[in-house]
Amino acid sequence: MNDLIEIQGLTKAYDADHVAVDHIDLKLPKGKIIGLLGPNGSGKTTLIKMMNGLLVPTEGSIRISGYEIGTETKKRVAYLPDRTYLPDGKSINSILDYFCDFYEDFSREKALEMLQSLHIDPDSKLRTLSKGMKEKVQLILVMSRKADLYVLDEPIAGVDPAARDYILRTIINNYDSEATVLISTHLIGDIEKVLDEVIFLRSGRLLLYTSVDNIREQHGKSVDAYFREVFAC
Amino acid sequence: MLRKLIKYEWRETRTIGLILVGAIILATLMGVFSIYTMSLFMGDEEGILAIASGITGMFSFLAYMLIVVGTIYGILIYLSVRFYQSMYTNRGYLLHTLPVTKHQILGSKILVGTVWLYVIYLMLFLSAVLSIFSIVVAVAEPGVIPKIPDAVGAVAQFIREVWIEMFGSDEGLFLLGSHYVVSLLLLALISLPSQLLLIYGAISMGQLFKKYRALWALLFVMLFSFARVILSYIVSLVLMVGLSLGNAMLPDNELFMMHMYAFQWDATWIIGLVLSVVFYKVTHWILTRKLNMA
Repeated sequence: MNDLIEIQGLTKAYDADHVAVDHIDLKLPKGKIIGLLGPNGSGKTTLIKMMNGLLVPTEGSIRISGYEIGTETKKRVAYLPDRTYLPDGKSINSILDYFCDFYEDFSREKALEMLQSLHIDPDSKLRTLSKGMKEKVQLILVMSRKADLYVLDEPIAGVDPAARDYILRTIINNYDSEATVLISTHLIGDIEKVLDEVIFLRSGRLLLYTSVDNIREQHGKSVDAYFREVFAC
Repeated sequence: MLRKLIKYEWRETRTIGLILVGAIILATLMGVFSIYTMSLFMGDEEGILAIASGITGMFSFLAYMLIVVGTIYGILIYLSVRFYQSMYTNRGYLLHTLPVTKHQILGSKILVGTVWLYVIYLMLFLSAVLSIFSIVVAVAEPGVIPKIPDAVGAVAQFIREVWIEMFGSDEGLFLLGSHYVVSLLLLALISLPSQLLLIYGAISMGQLFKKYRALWALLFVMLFSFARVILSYIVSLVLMVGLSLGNAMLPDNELFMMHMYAFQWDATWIIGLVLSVVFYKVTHWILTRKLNMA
């Protein structure tokens, strides 16, 4: 069995009029970098939150490495939310302690190495860092784990081009080749070069799941150009 | 993992907890000092120092009462806000993605919260004892003070004798005495975690709504607190009626009436215990089945 993620009939309805994710069936393999693409409100973040146990599906199921969402999947999934969530009053070192305590696959050495490359003092408190720096610290925490699945929700949104390059480099250089990376974004042009596969979502429904090579061969376009064509207003 | 969660919960809460403990100690010392200064000028009602010490004493007493009330509500408000922030705001992303069960998360919060409530209430009790003791010392003649340890011993001996005389000689009375002690002990032990669980349950139920979640939580706290009082009365009534019908262990009406207060305590801790289980289950259910991190 090569599938890492199995999603069956997954639905999330906030109310009768607002179905954020609508009966999605999907199997994602190991060892790929997959782009989760779609316009705003297409259900990307809702899907990601359900994969991380932050939202409970209305219907359907998700299995990661054969486990339903719970303690076992959380041991295997490294998640970067689309927001800063770490307590501002904490020092980076104390957050490293926290991650060391709770995640067996967390490497403090790797985190310190990445922090050093950004000239971030591990003794500094989070409140002293800029928003961009905080986001980088969060990414470092996620990529310092040796997880089966990395779920990154909008990792390059709202950062300058130089920071985008750094973030993408960090992702590429630090993930295990056996692991899968799922990246949600609408800045496709920036990440296209690192993607193996893409998922297109529209209004909570699965529109397309295919390889990047397939899009280029079949449509003679980049993923970015094809995305613009599919989601043209 | 529970141990680790408890460790971090303790670390996170200890600063505020210790500040509140410090406030109680400070208030107690202030109270004792004001009682002492007032006692120095006792009997000199017209002297300026007596008036000044009287005013200082009055304000010290007021400050003491404010700090007492402040710490009682302060610790509950702090624990409630912390629960809400760490569970249902952005910070919840950290907690809910840890490889731990919801039982472990809840358990750590309830255990640490309960310990803090016990610590604060114990400190308040000791503070009250010390304040009363200070008043006794202040109003006593100077020659009496060295005799206080003997007096305390004598009072303890007196209570022991009264206990034996009242409750030790008769099986029914012994039962009554034991009833009071056990009821009071259980009430003291259960009511604090029960209050905490009621608040945690109410906050979690507030999350089921799309808007005004904090307001709903507050409404639930008031509603459940009221329901708890009503239920306690009903249960105490049922206990009394049940006992009067099965009258076997109580030979006379007077003794039955003496059991009444203990029945009310019993009803309160029984309801507290039942509601604690209910609120724990509800909170756990919301966390596992209805979690909705915005």
